[in-house]
Amino acid sequence: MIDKTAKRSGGAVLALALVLLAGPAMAQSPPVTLVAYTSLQKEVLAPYEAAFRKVHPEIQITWVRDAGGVIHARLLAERANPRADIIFSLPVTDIVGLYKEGLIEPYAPKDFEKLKPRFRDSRAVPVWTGLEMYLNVICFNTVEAQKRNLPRPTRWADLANPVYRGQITMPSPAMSNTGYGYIHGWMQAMGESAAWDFLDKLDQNVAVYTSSSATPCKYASTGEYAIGLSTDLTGPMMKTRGAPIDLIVPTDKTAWDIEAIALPKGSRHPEAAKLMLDWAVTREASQTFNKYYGIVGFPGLNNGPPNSIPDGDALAADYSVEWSIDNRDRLIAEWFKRYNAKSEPKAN
Amino acid sequence: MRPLDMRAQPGGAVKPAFLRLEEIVKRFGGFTALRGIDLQVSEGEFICFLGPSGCGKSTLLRIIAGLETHTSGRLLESGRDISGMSAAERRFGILFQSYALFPNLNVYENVVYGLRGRKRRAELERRAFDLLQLVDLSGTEKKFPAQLSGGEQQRVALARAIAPSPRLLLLDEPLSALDAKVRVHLRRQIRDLQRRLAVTTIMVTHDQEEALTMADRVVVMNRGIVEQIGTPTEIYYSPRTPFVANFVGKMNFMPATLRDGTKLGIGATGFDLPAPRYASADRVALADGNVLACLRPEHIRRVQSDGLQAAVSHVEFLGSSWRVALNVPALTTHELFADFAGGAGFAPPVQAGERILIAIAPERIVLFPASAGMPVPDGARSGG
Amino acid sequence: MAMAQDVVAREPARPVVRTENVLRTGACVVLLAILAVLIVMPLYALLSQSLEDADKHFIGLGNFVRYANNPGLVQSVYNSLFVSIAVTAITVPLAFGYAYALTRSCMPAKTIFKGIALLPILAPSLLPAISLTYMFGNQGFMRGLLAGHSIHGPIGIIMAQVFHCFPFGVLIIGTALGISDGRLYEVAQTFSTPKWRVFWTITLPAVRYGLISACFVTFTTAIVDFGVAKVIGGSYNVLAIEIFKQIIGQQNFQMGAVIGVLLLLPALLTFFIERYVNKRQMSQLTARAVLYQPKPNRLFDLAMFGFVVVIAFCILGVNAVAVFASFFKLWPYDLSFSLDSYDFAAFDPGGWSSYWNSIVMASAAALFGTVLTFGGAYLVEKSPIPTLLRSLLHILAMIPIAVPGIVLGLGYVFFFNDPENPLGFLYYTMTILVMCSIAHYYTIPHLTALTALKQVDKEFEAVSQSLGVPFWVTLRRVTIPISLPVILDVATYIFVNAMTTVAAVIFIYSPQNKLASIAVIAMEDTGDTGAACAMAMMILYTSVAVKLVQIALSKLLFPKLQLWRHPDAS
Repeated sequence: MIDKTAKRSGGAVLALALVLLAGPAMAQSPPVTLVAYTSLQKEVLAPYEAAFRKVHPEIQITWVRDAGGVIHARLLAERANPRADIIFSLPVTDIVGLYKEGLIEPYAPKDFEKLKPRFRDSRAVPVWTGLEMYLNVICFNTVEAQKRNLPRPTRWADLANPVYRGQITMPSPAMSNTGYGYIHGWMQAMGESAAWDFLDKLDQNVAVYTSSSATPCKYASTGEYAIGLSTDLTGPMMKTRGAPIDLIVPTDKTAWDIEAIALPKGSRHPEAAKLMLDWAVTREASQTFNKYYGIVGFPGLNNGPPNSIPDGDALAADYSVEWSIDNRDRLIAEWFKRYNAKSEPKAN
Repeated sequence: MRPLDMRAQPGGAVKPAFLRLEEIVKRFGGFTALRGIDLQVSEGEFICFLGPSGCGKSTLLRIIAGLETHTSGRLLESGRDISGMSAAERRFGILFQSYALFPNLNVYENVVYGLRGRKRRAELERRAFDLLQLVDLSGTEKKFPAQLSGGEQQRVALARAIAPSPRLLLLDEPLSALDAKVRVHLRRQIRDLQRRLAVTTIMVTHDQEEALTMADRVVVMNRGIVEQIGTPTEIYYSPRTPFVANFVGKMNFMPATLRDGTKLGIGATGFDLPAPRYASADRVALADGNVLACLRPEHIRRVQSDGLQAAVSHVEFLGSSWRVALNVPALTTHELFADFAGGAGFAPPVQAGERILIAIAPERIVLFPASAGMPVPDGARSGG
Repeated sequence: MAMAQDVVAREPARPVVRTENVLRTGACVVLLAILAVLIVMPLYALLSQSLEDADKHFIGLGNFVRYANNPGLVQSVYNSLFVSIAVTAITVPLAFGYAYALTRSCMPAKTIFKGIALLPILAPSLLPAISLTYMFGNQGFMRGLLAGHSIHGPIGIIMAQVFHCFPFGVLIIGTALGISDGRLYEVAQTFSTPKWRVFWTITLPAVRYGLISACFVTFTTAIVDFGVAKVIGGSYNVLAIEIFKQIIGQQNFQMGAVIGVLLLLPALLTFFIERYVNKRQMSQLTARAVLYQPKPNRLFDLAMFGFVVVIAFCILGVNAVAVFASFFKLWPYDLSFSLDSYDFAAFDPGGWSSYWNSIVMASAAALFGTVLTFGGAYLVEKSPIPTLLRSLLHILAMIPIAVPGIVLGLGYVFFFNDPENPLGFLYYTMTILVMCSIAHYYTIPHLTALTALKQVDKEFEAVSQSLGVPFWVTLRRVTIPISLPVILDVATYIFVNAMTTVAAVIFIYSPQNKLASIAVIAMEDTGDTGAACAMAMMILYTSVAVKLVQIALSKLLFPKLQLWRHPDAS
C-alpha cells in the first residue's frame, strides 16, 4: 500500500538516475569513437577532426591532448591496459622511443610512398608516418623590446646576453618535445661542453620553463615576457591575431621535429584507426594541415598559414635524429638536475 | 450522556478495566524513570497523571501511547496485550503540548488528516463539520493555524485527535502553554467534550488545580512511583503519603506523638482523635510513637476565646483569602499557615505582630508515621 | 449526539506499519552503502596507497619517511605553511573589520555590502588569480605596486587566496558578532567604560570563538588550495601542486597519497576545533540574552563605512577586471571589444561543451545531492530506526567537510581506477564527477537540513503514527512543503559549489567530460589567458544567475506559495 505519488516520483528519480548513468555508455555504441592520443596544439584538433569526419562521418574522435613528454609517460604507464586507439600525433622521436618499448604496431598507410622522403619511416613496414613538420622559432615582442631596449637576437648564442635577464620563456625539455629539440639541437650544433655553458647563461635569463611549447609565444604575444622560444605553429597564429611579434629563425638554423602518426599495440578499434591513418597521407589531408603548418608531408603544397616562415625547409638544422633519441634520457636528467627549479607544474 | 462511573454501574457489577498497566518499568541507560507502575483505567474515565517535573508522568503517557517502549511490564487493553504494538497499531488519539498542528495545512485538512483515504470527500467534509462544531470552531475550515489563537489551535488539535474515534485519548499537558483565563475556560470545555463522547481519557499535568477540577481519578506520581491513586477529594483530604499531602494544596506539618491509638500530642497540646488512624498505604492501624500531623490551612480557625496562643509573623494577600503565617509555640516550633477571610473593607484580617487565638479540628488532622519523613521544604518544589 | 455512536470500525493493525519500519531501515542501509562508496572507500584507498609501495605491499610509514627525506618535497611543506599563515594573518583582521562594520555600526546599505563580500563564493578561486595576473602581471596596469616582484609566486597566491577566503571570514565572524548579548554593553555603558576598553574586554572575548574558527577555516582553505597555485603560483611549489606533479607528471601514486594524507591533517584539526567552538559559542547566548542593537555614532559609522567601501571596491574591482579582460581582442595591445575569447573551440578541443558539461554535472549533483542529504537528515532526525544506524549515518555525513577536495579526488582515482574494483566502470564517466561533487559538498547541506528538520515540530511523526498515516505521506504533505526554502538553499549551495569546484575533479575527469573549471586551467596553462578568463566568467555568471533565481524564488514566489506562514500579511 505504498503511496502512489511516492511511487511515481520515486520512479522518476530512478529513471533519471539510470539515464545519467547509462548516458556515457549509450554515447559509445553505434558510431565508433577513436581515442586519439596527441600532442598536437589544441587549435588544430577541431579543424583536423572536422576534415577527417567529412570523409568518415561514422567515426568520432575523442582527443586526449597533452604535452609530448606526458603522453609518452602515459602510454608507458598504460601498457598493461592500453586506452589509446590511435596516436595522432606525436613527434617522431617519441614514437621511435615507444616502438623500442614494444608499444607500436607497424602499419603502412595506403599510398604512403607518395609523401616526401623526410616524412616516411625507412623501415619496410613503417612504424610512423609524418604529417607535418614544425620549426623552433623565436617569438620576439617588438613593442616590449623597444620599451626595454632589447636588441634583436640573430644567432642562438645571442640569447645568453644578460640584457635579456628575466625576459625569456621556453618549454621545458622534460615535458615538451619542442623544449628537448632546443636542447639537443644546441648540443649537436655547439658541442656538449659549450652548449652547457650557454645553457647556464641562458638559464639566468629564463623567467619560467613552461610545459607547453605554445605558452612561451603566448607570453610574448601579451608582452608578459619579451621573448618566447616556441614553434612556427603558434607564432604565425598569434601574429595573425595581431600580436606585435616578429618570428625569428636565427641564422645558425633551428631545431625541428616531424609530427607523426602511428598505430599503438592494443588499439580497440584497429580498423577505424587504419582508416584515419590512411586518410592522413592523402593530398586533401595535407591541404588541411597546410592551413596551419608551412611544411607538410604531401609534396607540392607550400601555402602555409599567413605569417608562416618562408622557405622553412631550408632553415631546418641538419642533425642526427638517432643521436637525439639515444641521448635523450641522459641529457634531460642532466638538465633537470641543473635547472629544474624554475619549471612550471605540468600542463593539461 | 451521563458520565460513566465505574462504581455506579447498575447491578453493582464492576466493569473489567479498559486499560491495565502491570509493573511498568522504564530505564534510560542507568536512570530508572518508572519503577513499576500498576494502574487500571475504566472505560470512559478521565484520569490525570499529576506530579512534579521529572516524576515520569509524560514518560508513562508515551509508553501507553506506544511512542516509547517500556523496559518490562505489560500493557493490556480490554484484556489484550498491546505491549508489543507500535503507536500506529494502537491508534490512540494523542494531543501534544505543542499541539503539533501542520502549519501548512488549513484547519479542515488538519482535522481530517487521519481519515484521508478511508472515506470519500463528502463524508470527510461532514465529519469535519461535526467535529469543529463539537469544539466550537465552526466556520474555521479554511483558516491556517497561524491565524488561530492558542486556545483555538488546541481545540483543532483536539478535533484532529478524536476524528478517528479513538478508544483512548491521551493529553500531554495540553493547557500549559495557555494564559490563565483561557486555561480555566478550556478545562471545562475539554471535560464536557470528554463526557459527551464518553472516550476514556488520560491527561498529564503538573498543575494540581487542573487535576482536581477535571479528573475522575488522579494518579499522583513522584520520582517514578505512584504515590496515590484516588478521586480529587480523596487525594486532597486523605493523602496517603506526605508527598501527596504536600504536593496537592498547602499543608502544615507538625511533629507529634500518638498514644493508645487515639491520643495525639502535638507539641504541648493534646488532642483526642475520634477514631484510630490507618497508616499511610495499608489498612493497619497507625502504631503508637512519633508521627507526623498534617493540617490544611483552612482548618485553622481564629477564635475569640479558649484557643491556642498564636503570634502573627506575616500576612499575604491571596485575592480570595489571606494567608497568615503563625507561630504557635504550643503546637510546634515550625511556622504554620492559616487561611482567613478578609477583614472589613479591604483591610487584612490580622496584622503582623498581632497576637491571636486559634483552634484546630482534630478530625481534620491527617497522620503519617514519622518514618515517612518530612517532605522537602516549600521553596524547593512547585505546587502549593 | 449522533457522532458519539459514529465509531469508525477499528481496523486491525495494518501490515503497512511493518512496511514503514522496513522501508526506513532499508533506506538508511542503502544510504549508508552509498555514502560508503562515495566517501569511505575512496579515503580508505588513499590511506592504503600511502602505506603501500608500488607493488601493493604494505610498507608502513616508508613512503612518509621518503617524503621527509626529499628536500624538494619538504620545501613544499614550508611553502604551503608560509602562504597559509600569511593569508590567515591578512584575511582574518580584514574580515573582522568588515563584519564589525556590518554588525556594530549603523552604516547604510548593509545588505548590499554583505552581498558584495559574499560575491567571491560564487566564482571559482581561479578568478581572482586570473584577474590579478591582468592587474599585476608584467603588463598589468598596477604592477608598479609590486616594486619589481613578480605576481607569479607566493605574492600572487597570497593575494588571490585573500580574496577567496574573505567571504568565509566575514560569515563566521559576522555570526559570532551578531549573537552577542546586548545587555553586556548596556552594563558597560552604565559604568561609562571607555570604548577601547569595551572592545578589549567585552567584544573581543565574546567573539574569540568566531575568530578562532575563522583562523582555522582560512588556514585550511589556503593550505589545501590547488586552483590558485596552478594559475598564479608560477614555480612556487605548494602541497597541492606537488600532489599534482607526482600523480599526473610522474604517475607516482604513493607519493601523491602521502601528500594527500598530510593535507588531511589541517582539515581534520579544523573540523574538531569547529565542533568545540560551536558548543562554546552556543552557550554564550542564554535564553535571556538580548541581541545587540548598534547605536548611531556619526564619526564611527563614517569610518566603518569608509573601510567597507574600500574593501568592497577591491572585490568589485577584481571582478570588473575579469569582466573587461574577457572582452579584449588581444590584451594588452588591442583593447577593442571582441567576443573572440568566448569562442572556446578555438582554444580548447572541448570548446563550449566543457561549459555544458559543468551545467549538467552541477544540476545532477544538486538534484541527487539534495535528495540524499535531505533524505539522510530526515532519517537521522525523524526516524525511529536503530540508534546505531542513525549515528553511523550522521558520522559519515560529517566526514566530507574534513576532507579537502584534492584529497577526495585522489581517493577516487585510487579507488575507482583499481582494476579489481567492480565499480571501476564508473571511472571516466560523468557519473563519477557527480558522485565526487556530492561527496565533497555533503556535510553542510546535511547539517542545514538537520537544523531545519530539528525546528519542525518533533511530534509530527508521532501524530502521523497515532492517526495511522504512513510516514511518507506526512513527509510529502507536511515536512517537505515546510522545508522547501531549505531544500532550495541546499540545492543552490550544491549547484554553485559543483560549478566552481576544481581540485576535486582534476584527477578524475575524462576528455569527454571536461568541466568548465578544468578548461579554465587548461587554457591558462597554454597561455590563453583571455579565454581562461572568459570561461571563468561564464562560471561566475551562471552561479550568480542561479543565486538570483534562488533569491527571487525565496522572496517572491515562496511568500505566495507558502501563504500559511504569514496568512495575514498577504
